[in-house]
Amino acid sequence: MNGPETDTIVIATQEARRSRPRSSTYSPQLLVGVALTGAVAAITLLSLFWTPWNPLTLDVENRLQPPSSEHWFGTDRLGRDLLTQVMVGGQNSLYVSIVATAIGIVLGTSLGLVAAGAGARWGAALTRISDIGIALPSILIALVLATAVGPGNLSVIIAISFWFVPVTARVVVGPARQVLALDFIEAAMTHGRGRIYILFRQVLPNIAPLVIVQTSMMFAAGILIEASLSFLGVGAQPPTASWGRLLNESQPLLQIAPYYTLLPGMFVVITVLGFNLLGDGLAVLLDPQQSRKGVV
Amino acid sequence: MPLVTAKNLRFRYASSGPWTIDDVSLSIDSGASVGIVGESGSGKSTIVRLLSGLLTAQEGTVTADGNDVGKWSKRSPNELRRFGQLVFQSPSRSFDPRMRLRRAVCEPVRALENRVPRRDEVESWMSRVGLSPQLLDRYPHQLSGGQLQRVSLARAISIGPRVLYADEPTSSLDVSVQAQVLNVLMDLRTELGLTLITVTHDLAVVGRLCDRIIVMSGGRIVEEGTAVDILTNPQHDYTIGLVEAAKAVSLKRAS
Amino acid sequence: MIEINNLRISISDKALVAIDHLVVAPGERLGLVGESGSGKTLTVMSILGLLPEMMKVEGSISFAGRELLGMPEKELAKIRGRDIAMVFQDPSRSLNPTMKIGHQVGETLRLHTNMGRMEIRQRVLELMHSVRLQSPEKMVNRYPHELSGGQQQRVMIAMAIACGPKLLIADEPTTALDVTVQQGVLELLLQLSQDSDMSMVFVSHDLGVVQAISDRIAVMYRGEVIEIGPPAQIIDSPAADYTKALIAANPSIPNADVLVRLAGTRFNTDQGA
Repeated sequence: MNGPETDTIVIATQEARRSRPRSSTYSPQLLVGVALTGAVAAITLLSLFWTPWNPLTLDVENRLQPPSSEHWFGTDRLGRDLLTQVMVGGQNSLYVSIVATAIGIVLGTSLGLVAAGAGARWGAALTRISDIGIALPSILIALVLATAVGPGNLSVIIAISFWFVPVTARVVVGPARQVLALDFIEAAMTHGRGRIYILFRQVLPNIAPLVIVQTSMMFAAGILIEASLSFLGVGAQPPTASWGRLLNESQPLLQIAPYYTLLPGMFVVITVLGFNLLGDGLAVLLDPQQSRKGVV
Repeated sequence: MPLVTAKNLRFRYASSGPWTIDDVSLSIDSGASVGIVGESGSGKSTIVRLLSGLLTAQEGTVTADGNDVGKWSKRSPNELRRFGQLVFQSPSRSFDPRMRLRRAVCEPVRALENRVPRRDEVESWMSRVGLSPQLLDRYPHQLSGGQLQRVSLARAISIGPRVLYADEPTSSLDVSVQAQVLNVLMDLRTELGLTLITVTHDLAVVGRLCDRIIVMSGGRIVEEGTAVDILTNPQHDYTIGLVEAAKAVSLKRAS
Repeated sequence: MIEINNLRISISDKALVAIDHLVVAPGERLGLVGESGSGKTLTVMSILGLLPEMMKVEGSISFAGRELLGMPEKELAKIRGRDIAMVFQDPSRSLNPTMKIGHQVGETLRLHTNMGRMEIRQRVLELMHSVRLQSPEKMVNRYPHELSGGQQQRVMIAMAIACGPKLLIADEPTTALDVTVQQGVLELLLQLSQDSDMSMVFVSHDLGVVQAISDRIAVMYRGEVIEIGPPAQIIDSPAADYTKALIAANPSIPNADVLVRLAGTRFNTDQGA
């Protein structure tokens, strides 16, 4: 049993908040996150049309040169322009992460929603299965796949998705269950709406902020995992540029050519940091308490 | 003419333990307005969900319009939904916060009749509950509790049900607003020939709204009779206590 | 005991409450009645400085000679729980689900007094007894979720009166309870107030409930007190139109003959509450 609805304090405070967006809605995290990810995305997109040098041009005589006016980032061990390698490498990382995140979010969210609506026994079964998926490290899976199917982006994408799907499902299940327990879900059932409709057209929109933030965070993780796998040699193979591979090549040369490690490494850090901050900022922006954008 | 009946119903939420509904039998005539009263834990909310088919009893049967509700809900659930609609206690929680009210009000027709209602239809529902159709352009949180509960009623009558199950329809509303919603309920009953089954803990509500009262406690029916009889001459100890307490906290006027 | 003068509460230039003068005498029980949005909750929250930051509060609220508005937080904290106590509507939300009952009742005693552990334990049992909780010795070790709504509210009341406050503010304390429990809690509050000469401000949207417990009733509408007087006057000879509408719209339980006459008829809401 509840008391009277529409409390003055609640209405008045909500109205005040809505009339002027508080500075904290556009938080520093959001702004920095947008800036960083925007910059990386822009540079990567640019590389599709233009790079300072041709990525394949070798110049062995001038290899391992430090940054100069000709080669802003210096050259790698085969004399290729490092900046170009980094820019093109970004294509790879972003592509892999986008695909893996898309698979993870779409399949994971669907799985989580279905598990939430499935009742105790099925829900428990799905949770156990997803636990297995979470427990297996994607690095291990990628290595297995690389041996079986061969290295390359496909193996990396599969390996990362193997982990993303259950993690997302796990994140979605709890809040989805919470929404399912609400009155308007019962009301929808009395109106004749079926299970699937309720899960995807009523529960999902009400946990949307959660899913959006999760996407951003997972994207960051994807970048990092792809870089690690390429570092281990399981990802994109030469001559395809990739951040991880650059880090692998530069590792023994750290004392001679520190820029070779630092500059690609910096890009990885900026990208991951950017997406993480973006996720944080989105969490604040989409907070349902502030803007009535959902229930959870 | 009985429209909704229950025979020896037994129900519990868990698979073992005490019964929430313990051997309940009742009969509700077509066109009647029946109030099921009791305190928290009496089973009154559960009984209304059993009668409407939202829940299925482990033992006993519920019959509506001659059909076994249990079988009805499996074979043609849409027909069952068209027969009886529910109105819930907390109006703000019975609407999807992200759905505009216009869409929300059209949900039953969209789901059960597979079509989008016409403008004039929607307007007629709203005028029956005494609200301007313009309110439908808003979101649930932009209406007051009383208005929202009336939208809830408009939504419930939209597919022309024969029975309206109301679960504590005014308990979340200010006393000053309850009267308006109750008036609408009474009007809907006379104008549409609805059978009203109202669950409430508030005896003042049933006094005017209902012809008959069924008193529940601990999952069982302890007393039933006409509203006037129960309120003025309660027999069972529990009912007597309930009426006394309700009088103690209700408004006493010299006039 | 408490005197409110020229109280103005507003948010973003929108006026929410405007009370020129309101007094509660020592030992008096004032019923503050009005619908949602009338400003009654805002008013009592402002007494204890519990309004959200974005609300502007002007005027004067003086308690036992001290000015409460503008008082530094540290001093207000000393008054809260000790001199002025508050009981809220939903006890299940106000109690800490992870703390034992006995421990929670003793909170204010630990905060405001120097009593030792044994003393506090003794006092807690006394308090629980005075709010008519059965088997206090057993209940001390229970957790909130093991209690019924009525019992939880009694625990809240025990917490509130622990330090012997001079003023108790109750904001819709019975609204979330079953009607038989409501009766019990109201009787309890009445008796506690009479026994210790404690002033009380009882906020509710239900005139019937307020009638049972108040020495005077103040009717609020749109942030203003539009009428104030003893229950008999307010209910039997209301002056303001709004008060009349409030009374007319109250679905009370009339006497037998009135009930028979009224059964099945619509409620009178002509003056549009």
